Order: sequence, then structure tokens, then C-alpha cells
Amino acid sequence: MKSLQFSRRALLRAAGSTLCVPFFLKHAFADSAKRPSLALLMQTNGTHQASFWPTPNKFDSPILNKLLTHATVGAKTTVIKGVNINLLGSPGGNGHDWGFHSLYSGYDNITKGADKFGGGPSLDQTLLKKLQIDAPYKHIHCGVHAANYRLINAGRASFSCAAAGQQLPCQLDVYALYTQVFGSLTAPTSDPGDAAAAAAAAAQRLAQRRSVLDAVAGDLQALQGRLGPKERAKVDAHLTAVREFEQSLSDQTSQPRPAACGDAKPSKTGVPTGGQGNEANADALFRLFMEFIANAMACNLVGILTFQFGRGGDHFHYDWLKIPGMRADFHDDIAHKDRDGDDVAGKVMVEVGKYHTELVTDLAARLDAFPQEDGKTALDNSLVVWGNEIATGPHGIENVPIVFIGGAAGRLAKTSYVVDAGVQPHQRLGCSIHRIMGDMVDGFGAVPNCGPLKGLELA
Amino acid sequence: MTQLKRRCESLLLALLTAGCVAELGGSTPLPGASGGSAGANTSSGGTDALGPAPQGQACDGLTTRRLRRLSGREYTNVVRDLLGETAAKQVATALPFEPRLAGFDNQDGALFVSPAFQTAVADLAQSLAATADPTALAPCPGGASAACLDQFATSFATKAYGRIPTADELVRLRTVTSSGQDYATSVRLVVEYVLQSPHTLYLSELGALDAVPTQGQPLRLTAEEVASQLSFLLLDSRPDEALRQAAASTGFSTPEDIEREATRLLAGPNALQALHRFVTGWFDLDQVALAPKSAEVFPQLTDEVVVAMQQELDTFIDSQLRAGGKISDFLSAVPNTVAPALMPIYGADYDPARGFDPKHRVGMLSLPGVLTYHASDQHSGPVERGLFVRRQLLCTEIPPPPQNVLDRIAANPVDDADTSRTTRQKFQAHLDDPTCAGCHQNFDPIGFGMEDMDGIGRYRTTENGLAIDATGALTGTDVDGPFTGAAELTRKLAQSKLLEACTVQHFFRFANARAAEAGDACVVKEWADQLSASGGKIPDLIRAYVAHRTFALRKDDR
Repeated sequence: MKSLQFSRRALLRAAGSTLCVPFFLKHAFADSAKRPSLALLMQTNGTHQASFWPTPNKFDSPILNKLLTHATVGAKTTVIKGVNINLLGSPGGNGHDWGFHSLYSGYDNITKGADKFGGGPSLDQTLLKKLQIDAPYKHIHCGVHAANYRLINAGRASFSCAAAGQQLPCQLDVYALYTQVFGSLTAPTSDPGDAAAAAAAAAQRLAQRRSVLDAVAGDLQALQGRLGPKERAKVDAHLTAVREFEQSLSDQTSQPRPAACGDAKPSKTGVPTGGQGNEANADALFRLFMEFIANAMACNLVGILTFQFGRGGDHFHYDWLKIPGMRADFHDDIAHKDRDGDDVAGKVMVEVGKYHTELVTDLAARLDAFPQEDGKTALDNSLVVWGNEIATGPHGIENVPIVFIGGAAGRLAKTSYVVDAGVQPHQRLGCSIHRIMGDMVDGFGAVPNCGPLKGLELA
Repeated sequence: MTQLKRRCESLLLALLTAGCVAELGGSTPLPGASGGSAGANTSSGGTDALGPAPQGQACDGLTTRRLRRLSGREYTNVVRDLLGETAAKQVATALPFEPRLAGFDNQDGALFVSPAFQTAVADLAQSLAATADPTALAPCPGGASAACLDQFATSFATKAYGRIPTADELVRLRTVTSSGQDYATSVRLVVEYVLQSPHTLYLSELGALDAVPTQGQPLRLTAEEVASQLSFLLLDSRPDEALRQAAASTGFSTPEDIEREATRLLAGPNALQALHRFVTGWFDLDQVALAPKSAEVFPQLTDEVVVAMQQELDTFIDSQLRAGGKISDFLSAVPNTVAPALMPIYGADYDPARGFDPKHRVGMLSLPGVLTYHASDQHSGPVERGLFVRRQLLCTEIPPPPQNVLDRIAANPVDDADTSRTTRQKFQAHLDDPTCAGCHQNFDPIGFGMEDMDGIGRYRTTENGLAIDATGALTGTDVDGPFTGAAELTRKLAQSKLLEACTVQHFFRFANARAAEAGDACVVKEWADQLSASGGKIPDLIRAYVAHRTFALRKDDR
């Protein structure tokens, strides 16, 4: 079996050397520059503030060092300082619930019994509603839940939300995602006869799948007329999902992909993909997901990808990092205690922060290794937003760590600087991302007129 | 505390006589709970609204007409019935993870067809269809024919939908089969379509196809819909042949018709599994193996021990259900035997000749599996256990910690590695610090009273060389008073009508796939009364539920 992130080692070597970009790749991403691909990453449990932000006149910090000083990616990175979680009311739960559900939605979370859910659609959904996303998969929400700890409340399983209280599932099985996203892509055969037969068979299968989906849609449409408003919304959402899926089938076959995309495979097989209780495999899963995100975005197979490094306020133990001073439970014994007077907690926070930086840098570097038709890289034509549910371990919500990586298809006027325009409500983050994606809104979430982030220079 | 008791007595009175409903996860405001501040619990204002019905709003207990999406487990069972065990295993691993809500996985408010779910189901349907054996599924002795195909499509859809497909649906089935290049492909296309049809994915509670809007009057479900309600309650899947026939022959036009079938199903093996799920939701339990537990602190909790704990717990629940399912029995019985792997956990508490020491072990709360699950990863978790009893078993609302809770914790640090104090001593600050005590006084004394059981359910008299203090107190309940140890607590709870009323609310959520709202209070009270009158047996609760008018009637929202 080929082992690769793409079984395209030669390609990566070539791209990495910047000397020899395979010709076919120049045509592989013909449409990629229309709008950036977007990835929203959500880290949990905050950061050690004193070690996160670059110092004045130096684009570097202890936690972000690997990213900001990376040979190619560092120059394509923007650090955004001063963003506070701007609560509009008194939502239930604590800082974890607030930021987890609000950072990328702009709405306060809501309470259902003991569970806290998003109070409105998250950014991925608001963008989907307003933009025509060309990629076969408009949106994928995935993440790693593999902490050896129970789910605190059901809402913390996923930050992606279709509407208030309507949580979208977080896909945990990275192998299933490879099958789903790359499964229909096959490398062309060298035998023209075989190729023609395969194409005919694929066309027939596609027609049959469409026939099935049309029948499903027919069932749903027949139901619509029988329902009251609430249930009709449920069926409408179902019908939309069916139509989007049908469209994705067409997009996969109608848009040419490089042969390398058809060979995309995870670099490691056999890693158990379970959620809670599977922390022994968490590190491997984090790395596999970084590969997957890079592959899916670089091949333009996914328009918007959202990822969570754990459930809201998760309780990882990070045993695999073997950090000196690590206590039993990172959330309880480190993050919560990262305050004055506990130097050990601060040092461990920095090490865990560095680990996440390494993961994100790996993702960015993979994207940067993919050439695009316009001579740029997939990272140039993407925007990776790396946020955190809270600012500090002890539930601080002021100065939430936010980093933009990538050129956003030219929508960012400049990169490699720190946006530091004073305190800003977090709704401006969503407003700015909408604008970067081409939707010129004035506000976001529950604040329709908050405007974009000040100090972030858009083209 | 006097005020607390008085208010909780009022609550009990309201619950049992005035019909005021406490919602699961908490509607009963807990007096003395001064936390909150910016983190005050707020309701969505939607399905979880609590309290008495607003003036002018009738308490009818009716669920609004709806399509309830099947849970992943229910869908898996439907596929098992259609295509067999191997197919079911494939389903179980293919669907995206969806968390349970309030202990149950079937909650209407949490389940809808997201793009991820649709993709998973569509790909799954394609995969299952591709591996299906058309000759076994749709044998056609005289050679492949359109008649055979029609017959198969109709029977397969009937089984999946729980009713005969309508004329329009048959047209769509035929359209799909017509795109197959041969008989086998057409059979497979039927499978692929039916597995992702909304009629398979949803439980319909809409009434007849031609039902006109009722203008405020309740709408009756069809006999087939009633059959599916019954079967998902007690078979965990679509109706079996006998149930379909009963629907056809009786039309389920009387409560007796429905109750008769429920009684038949309750005697079958699948009902045990369904009731088992209710009990685990009631006790907010998941797999013991999922309980976070420090291997350093509890090296004795080996995989073998965890498996034995799970088996004991499952066997205990099933035994009580087989013995009649009396609610108080879950709090008074003990296991019949102890697996060898658990002998070190029980220690002197179990003697093969004399059985369990009744001073230490009684009911589910003294099972190591339950004590392991409801504990901290590092220690016994008196706060977690106290909250569990308050919230889950007594349905009392506990507000979330105030936002300055971490400051309070910093001021009163608890070091798990500190071996100079007992766990209780470490958490005593909750009651000594007035800011914390406002809330913690309501549940810490319950958890402290279970300190004779460590984090993996071993009885103990010392911790870190210091004597265990397992004195506790129940306040604001109908069984108030001091107690010592988990066993005595359990005996008190077994006498509680408040616990029984709370159990009915859990049952309401389990059975209706939604939380009880203000407009359901009268129904919850009716069931609680019937439960008390019948001796508190869960199967009687089932019968009361299915024979109740709300089972087959729906509110029309058109």
C-alpha cells in the first residue's frame, strides 16, 4: 500500500522544492481562486496569555513560534488581538459554553435542561446560506472527541449549529471521511477501453443514485404540505440536505481533479477512531485530521471545513506529550489553575499551546505545498481561522486567541502582522470572515451592525 | 434549611397533588441556591419551558403532530429487521455521533437530518444495497418479472414504513426500479431508496393522509401510526407481523385494543431491552467503560473488572424488570451472585454463604458499576454523587456554578494528590465558605453521606489512614433526615414519593421523546397517581401511558 498524504510524495517533494511543479496540477485548481476555501478550527481551554501574543516589533511568541517563524507559512499568518467574547445576555453554563457556541456564531448559547446549545446558526451555516459554494462538499464538520472524560453536556459535542438549538453532528471517523470525500475519485486508467467502460458504468450509477434521491425528495415534498410550521422546517432542512448531496455527486464527477486527489489516503491506517475513552489515539487522530483537512481543501473538494480539537471545555490528559509538571487532568488541574502563583500550570499551558501550534502549522504547511493554477499555493487561496473557545484557562473571555493563516485568495491586503486595534466584540470576527468570503455584511450573529474587525486590512 | 424544607414540601405537594411539573434536568427551583450571577440558567423558552401552565392554557398533555427522526439505534434496528445482523453492524458504525439528551437518545428536539447524516445514510444505503442478495430478498420462481419486483418493493417498503405505501409512493418506487438495467439491480435500487426514504427515517405522528385540519380539536393517529408508536416503545423497531395484524383487525380504536398489544409485547424479549434503556436513562448511566478513571489512583479497575461491573449492572436491571419492575426494588434489591472479578471490589461486603452485608449494600446505588460511573476520575466525587441524586433522582434544579467559581476554588484549592486529608475534608470548604455553601449545602451532604464507597465502589472505613465520615443528610425532600452511608441513603430514597414522581418525569421523556412541559403537568400527575396505586411498577406505567388518550391523539398545529 502506498503511504502518503495523497500517495503523492513525488508531488509534494516537487512542490516543496518549488523547482518542478507537475504540469497537470496547474490545471487542477482552475476555479480555486474565485473564493477562498475556509477552515474554522476551534481549540479549547484557552491559552497562557503572556506567552501567546507576539511582542511589539517581533512577530514571534513562545507558543506561536513554530508557526510565525515557519519558512513559508509564517509570512502568510495574521495574529488578531483584542477580541472579547461579547455576551449579549446571561447565557447558562460557563465560559466554555459561551465561547464554544458563540465565537463562530455571534449568538449567546441557549439552555435546554442541563444542556447548552448554540443560540443561532454558526458561521459555516450563515455562509452556506448566502454563498454559492462550488466544492462538491459544501461543508464538513469534524473533530476529535477522544478524551478520556465524559461529555459535560450534550451541547459541547459540536459547535456547528444550523439554528438555535439545532446542533450539527461532529464527524469523528477520519477514515469514513476519506471514503466519503475522496471515494468517488479514481485515478484514470491507461487503457482507453477500460476508461470508457468505467466512465459509462459511473454515469449509469450516477443516474441511478439521482433517481433514488429524486424519489426521496418526492417523499419529502409530499410530506411538506401536511405539516405545521415547525415540522415543515425539519423537512425543509432534510430536503436541502438531499439536494446538496445530489449536487455533490454531480460536482465530484463534473469537475476535473488531479490524479493525485484520486489517490488520497490517510498516512496511517488502523487507528481507532472512537470518541470518548479513546485518548490513547488522540494524537494520531489530530495528525490524521490535519492531513485530511489539507487534502480536502487543496483538492477543492470541501468549501467550508470546521474542526474542533476536542469537545467544548474538554478534559484531555495529553499523556503523549510527556510534559514535566503535567497533572492528572489538563482542564481541571492545569487550565483552571493557570493564574498568578501557579508557574507549573503556566508552563504546561505553554507546552500544550505549542502542541496545537505544531498541528496547525503542519496543516498550513501541507496546504502551502500544493501549487495552484495561478502560481500560488492552496494556502494562498485558503483562509484557516484558528480560534479558541476561551481566552484563558480560568474561563477568561477577554483577548481570545485568534490566528488567520493563508492569503484568503487575495482578500487579505496584507499578512504577517498583529491586528491590535483595541478591544473588539467577537461578532466582528464573523463579520470580517463573511466579507473575506465575499458577503459584504455589516454585522454578524445577534449584532447586525457591529462592523468588521478594526485593524484587519482587507483587499 | 427550614425554609428549604418548607419550599420543597410545597414542591412535593405541587408535584403530587396540584399537578405542577418539574422538568428533567431541573425545573424545581432549589431554594437557597444563591449562585448564578452572569451564569444564571436561562431557558430557551422553547420545549423546555417549565412551571405551571399559563393561565388559559389547558393542561392536555398532547404532543403536537410531528415527524420524529429515528435515533441511530432505532434506525439500526429497522435495518436489522430488513436486511439482517451484518447490515445492522455496518449501520452502527456509519452514522455520525449524536449525543444523548438528558440520558435518552431518542429526543425529538435533538434529531434531524443534517447534511452529514444524509450523506452517511445515502452512502450506507448504496453500500448495503450493493451487498444485498437479490435472489434471497426478492425470489421470483418463474423468472424475473415486474410482478415480482412490485411485490418485493411493496413488502419491503411496508416493513420499513410500518404501513403499506400509498399509490404515489408506489409510483416513485416503480420509477426507481425502472432505472435498473436488470432485475437484481432493480431490487438493489429498491433497497437503496427505501433505506433513505423519510418514511423509514421518521416516526410519523401526523394522522391520516387525508386528515383535514382539526381547528383546535385533537387529531387521531392512524392505526399504523399507533402500532409504530407501540413498537418503537417496546420493540425498538417497526411493528412485527403480529402488531401489524392487530392494527389492521382492531384499528386500535379503543385503549383496551392498544393495552392488549402492549401487554403482549411486554412479555416478549425486546421489551426488556427497551425498559432497560429507560432504567439506564433514569439513572443517567452509560457504559461503565466510559467512566473516566485514573489508572494511577485505581489500578484495580482492570478491563476485566469493568466488564464484570457492566455485566452485574445489566443483570441487576434485567432481574428487577423480570421480577415486575417495581421502582422501589431498584433501590432495595441486591445482586444474586458476584462475579469472581468483583470479589476484590466487594471484599468483606459479600459472603457467598450469607450474601451481601445489608449495612453497606442495597439497591442500584451500591453497585460498583454505578458508583464507579457516578464518581470523579481521581476520587469518590462527593459533589458529583450529591448532584446526581439531587438532579437525577429527585428532579431538582441546581443552578450552574457562579462565574467566580474558579476564584473560590483558587481560594480553597483541592489537591487530589494530598494524602493528609480525606476527600470529604478536602471538599468541606464548600460548606464552610458561605459563598459556596448557598448551593453546595443542597447536595454535598448527600454525597458526603456516600463517602463509605470509594471511586470504584469499594466499601471503606478509612482514607489516607484517616477515619471515614459518611454521615449525610437529606433536606427538602419527603424523606428528610440524617443518614450514614450509601445503603441507608438508598433505603430512604426507596420510600420517597418525590423520587417516584421524578421517575415518572423521566418516563415521560423516554416515552414521548420530549421533555414534559407545563401543559403536560396533569398527565404526569395522572401517571404518578396510577403508578402509586399500582404499587410503583414500570410495566404498569407503560400500560397507563399507552391506554391514555394522549397516546393516540395529537395536537393539530396546522
